[in-house]
Amino acid sequence: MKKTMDRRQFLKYGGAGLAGLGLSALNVPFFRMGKASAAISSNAWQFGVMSDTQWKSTPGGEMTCATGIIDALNEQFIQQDVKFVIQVGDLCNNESVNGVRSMPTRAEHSQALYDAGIGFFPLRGNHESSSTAANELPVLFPQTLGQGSNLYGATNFQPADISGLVGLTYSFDYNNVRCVMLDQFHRKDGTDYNGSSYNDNMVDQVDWVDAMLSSNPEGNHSFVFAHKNLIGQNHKDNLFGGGLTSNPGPRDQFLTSLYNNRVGYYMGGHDHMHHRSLVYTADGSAKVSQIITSSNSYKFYTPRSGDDGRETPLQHELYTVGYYIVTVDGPRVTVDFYSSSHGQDYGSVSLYACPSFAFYLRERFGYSLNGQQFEIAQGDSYTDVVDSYSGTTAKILDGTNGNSETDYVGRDLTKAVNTGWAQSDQVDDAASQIFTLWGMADNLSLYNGDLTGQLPSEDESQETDTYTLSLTYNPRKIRTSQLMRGNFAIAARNEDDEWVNAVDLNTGGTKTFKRGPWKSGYAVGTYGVDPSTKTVWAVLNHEGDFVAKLI
Amino acid sequence: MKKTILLFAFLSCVMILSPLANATTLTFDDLSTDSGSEVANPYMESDFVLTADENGIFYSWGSLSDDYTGSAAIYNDSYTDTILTAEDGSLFNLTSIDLSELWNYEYGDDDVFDLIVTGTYTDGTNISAYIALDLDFGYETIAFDDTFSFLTSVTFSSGYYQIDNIEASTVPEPASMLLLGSGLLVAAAISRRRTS
Repeated sequence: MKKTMDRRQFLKYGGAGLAGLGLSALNVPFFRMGKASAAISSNAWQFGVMSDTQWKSTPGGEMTCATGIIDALNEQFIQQDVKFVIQVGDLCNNESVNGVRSMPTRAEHSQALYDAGIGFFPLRGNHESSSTAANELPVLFPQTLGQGSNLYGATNFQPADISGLVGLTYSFDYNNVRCVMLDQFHRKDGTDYNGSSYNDNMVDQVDWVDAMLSSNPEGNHSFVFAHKNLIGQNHKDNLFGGGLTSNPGPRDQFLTSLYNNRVGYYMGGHDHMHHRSLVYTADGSAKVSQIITSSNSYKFYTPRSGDDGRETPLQHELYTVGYYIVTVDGPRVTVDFYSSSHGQDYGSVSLYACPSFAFYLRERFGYSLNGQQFEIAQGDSYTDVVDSYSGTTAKILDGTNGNSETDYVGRDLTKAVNTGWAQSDQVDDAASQIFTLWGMADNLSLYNGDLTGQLPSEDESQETDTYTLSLTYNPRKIRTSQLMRGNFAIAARNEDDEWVNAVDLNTGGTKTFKRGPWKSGYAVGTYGVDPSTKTVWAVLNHEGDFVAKLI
Repeated sequence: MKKTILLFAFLSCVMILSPLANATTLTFDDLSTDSGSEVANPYMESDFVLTADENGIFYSWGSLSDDYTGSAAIYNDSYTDTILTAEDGSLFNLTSIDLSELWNYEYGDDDVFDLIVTGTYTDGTNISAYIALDLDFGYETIAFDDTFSFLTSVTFSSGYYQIDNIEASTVPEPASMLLLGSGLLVAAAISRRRTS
């Protein structure tokens, strides 16, 4: 059941309490109602991602940087205890104001992160595309060269193999993650790959990207960041050129490299909206999970129709100010998207003042290197979702993708259901490995321009379609006499990270224990044990982490 | 005469050794409780020992349980093998056991609850029988033929079932019988020679 609470109450996240607010008296809350923390193990860590921070005028910004939003996000990242933050370009709106360069202002407003021991790794966007800005960025942010005092644990910096891109395109490692940062704009020496336009500037970087990804140690994650998108929703110019048909050969070579090297996400900005999709090569042989990051600027874009059929939309949210917390927990990665109203009536507006923010957890998604991904179209069954790990098999026995929503331009949304696993020894009395399901929820609906009010005003619902999950259990891990009393079941974590009966976290339904196998027609809240197949099962309408154990 | 001597020797073996073939039934009646309880491992009754392998635990349903068959029984609560031996290490014959499903609920057509009963001979070889429960809650008697004779141990494989009324009997080793029989024949022959 969702709980009501005081809007001004802070939540603790993982092991972090409230960080000191330091310079800021912003007191910006974030809310994560009814949701367990993304981390299971004590080795988990987080990094943050933010988007374009242009601003047009004061108040709310300085030197065309959205300093009000930047400061609020800094506070969020400090509270969320991230290790570093990545910004995917468009640091300012104008490179200079009355002859005074703007980027130093952006650099000043990363100091709060440094003071908290948090790294900041930026990219350029098209709003700082000149060769002047190309030379400026590594000076203001020497960490892009792997230099300076603000590395905070980032290591193994690899520069671009094009001299004009050193400090602009770069790769670094942190713990078990490799971040590959891509710059596609005018180079330091004023050159471009193919003449005076920077549109083709990714073509001669594809091999370097592949080298960075293929040399990442087995078992480590990799993410690729750039300003422009693989396929935009409003903008049709993209990472590989001015339109969707630009440079298809290098584009597909790039996508294939990301696919073969199991890149978790490609994240970009530019489009000022939250959008997730799967982007394919022309022949459909490879695909990449794309995230377009939510606006952190004064403006918000609206999607336009016109794609070439290579994109499967998963989810989006328009006209909100948002950020991303990426939790890395061994092979498992969870991304939490938080967003706030921009302070005005919902819609595509231009902001002239920095709003008061309240960030809500809008959606959670993820993947695991030891799991699988299943694309479930609207109306399709979830029963293809079957996965095994170290003696435990998880299956969805029943359930259908009942979502009927489209994106803004009318394309059906698909669910990318991801599975993942963690070792059972992280949970007391576990009789199975820990199984995670992501992608079952599909509830974002903030893309209707007719909506009114300051939205979002609450966490998004975590309710999924009704489905039946089964997990095999190890009979040596549970006393036979305890098996059929109703307190051995599929367990899930509540918002206090306590393992409870998974059906207790359903929305609605009646908790009912059954001996024996699941049968078609069992209502939500029914759960049971089938000793013949050594499985536990439950009829659920939420996702998360699950394990077979005594409750 | 020779036939008479042989017959006399055989009958003597039987008469001498028959008190040693100790047939008994483990009923587990002493485990009867209302609410059910753990049972000591190993469990001993009527000169036989049941052991839950790997330091497992036994349990017995109480008479108030929905899963009580009407007769106190025992089951392995740790999902390990259960091993039957004679308390003094004697060889024994396994005659029959009563087996029941562990839980009283409506089983499906696809459900399988089964076990393998393995008898071990003195030379280390085995004889096995596969048993699938009939899924009709309550006891069914499983009888064993004479291949389950002269065993050092019987192992009931891990699984979900409860056991009652184990019928078994200790027996001397066949070699011992042969030696005794031979001795009686010699004694009879000597006696005959003296008489003639």
